[in-house]
Amino acid sequence: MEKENSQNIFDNNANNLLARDLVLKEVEMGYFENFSSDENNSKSSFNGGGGCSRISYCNCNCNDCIALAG
Amino acid sequence: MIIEDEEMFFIDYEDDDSKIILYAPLRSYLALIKKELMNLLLERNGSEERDIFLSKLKARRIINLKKITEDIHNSVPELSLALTENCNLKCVYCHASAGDSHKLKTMPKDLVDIVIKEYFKRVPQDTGKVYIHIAGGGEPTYDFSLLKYSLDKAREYAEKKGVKHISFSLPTNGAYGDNIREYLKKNFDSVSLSFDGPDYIQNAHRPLKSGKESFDIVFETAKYFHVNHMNYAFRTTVSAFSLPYLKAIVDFFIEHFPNVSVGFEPLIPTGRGSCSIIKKPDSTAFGDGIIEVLKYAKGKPIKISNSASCEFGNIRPIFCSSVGIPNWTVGVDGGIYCCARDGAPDVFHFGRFDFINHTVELDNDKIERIRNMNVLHYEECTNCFCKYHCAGDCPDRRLAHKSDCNAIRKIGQHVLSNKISS
Repeated sequence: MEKENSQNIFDNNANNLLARDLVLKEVEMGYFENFSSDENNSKSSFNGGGGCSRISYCNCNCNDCIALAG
Repeated sequence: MIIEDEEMFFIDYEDDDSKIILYAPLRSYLALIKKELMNLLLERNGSEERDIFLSKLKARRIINLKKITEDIHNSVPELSLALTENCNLKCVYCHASAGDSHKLKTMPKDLVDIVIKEYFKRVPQDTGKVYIHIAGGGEPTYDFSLLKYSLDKAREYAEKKGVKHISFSLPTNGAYGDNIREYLKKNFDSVSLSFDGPDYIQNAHRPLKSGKESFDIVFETAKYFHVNHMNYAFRTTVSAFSLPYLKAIVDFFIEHFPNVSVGFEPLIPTGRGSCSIIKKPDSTAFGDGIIEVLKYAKGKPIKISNSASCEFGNIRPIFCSSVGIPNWTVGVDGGIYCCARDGAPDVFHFGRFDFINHTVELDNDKIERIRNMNVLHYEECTNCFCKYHCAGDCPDRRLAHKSDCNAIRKIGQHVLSNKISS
């Protein structure tokens, strides 16, 4: 999901911190408000399309839970 | 920490201690910086570099946490049906003590009817997709006729409501033959198969009710899911016994089930697990073990996850929709809980089906309390860089004082260092 160096915040700056080696590397994490109530669901969009909220997120005590499908 | 209204965290960089990771999650920004810049940022007097950095950071788009939480609150609850407390396995660590003499109940059919009918009353007309999960402390396929009945009923009411698709999911132990395997293939969109690895681990952790070994039949089920390209994943519980074998478990899954997702979670000592000879793993050792296998599995045909600590692909202020919406998990007695975990605490119990009047009673004060179980309300998470990824960990684990922040931070540091290094 992240795109490295795609949006370096110090590009084209006269006081470029990258050039001065204070900022050595940047990673664009690509986060967004990735939950949508479209279709009144909380699964397909809750985790960027990667499965249901509970499946992706569950760390419950059940030792036998649904987990991480998809 | 907050610097001039900007939230950012400094995290040790694993490969070089003269450098440090700066992480501003709400600006979607990660950087490797010299410690000199960190010191400049921490200085109150200000400097040219500090001003430049902060002004550039502030110019980036900020993630709207309010929108995320409101969208979740406004969603239609997912329905989970806890069809049975009984089970054909007798896993040594079963949280629900499924199949023990006090845990044998199955949901009556008339309750299934009422629950599904009342649930679909609340689903908007012509909804595109509805998610129904078959959960509970017992094995969902244990009463196979009830499982089929429940799906048929759900489809019947969904059709009346113009719902285009119901997505069914379930956890399962895989200890059955082709009849059930085929049914799951035809009817379920996602399946989580509890499978702890090679025979010497699976048989020690998850024997049949008779005490016999479960490995062969579960392996056959996994093979069936695999060759039929089902959307399934493995859920693998890690104990103190199995922790030294994590790489062997990974090799096992790669050899027999390449490209499948495996979720490693630590054994939690509740239910039968509280008095089992198989103990929970040491939390620090578990964190180290997950990091080791993440490194070991890199580039190999397997996806490894740990639910509280590997979620660095998005911003997550709420651990799960179970508390965020909250969802409806209906127990065999008609109680409505937000959590699918059997034996969930009373604070999760926010409603009940009234058998006599065929009505649903919901406690709105409790719903509000449940919705507030998110990282924005956890004071101790304020200065933690994992806060928008573990979301404060599972609310149930928090209530039981079983959160594992050390392992979560350790794995989080590894994940972010990896992103910087790759």
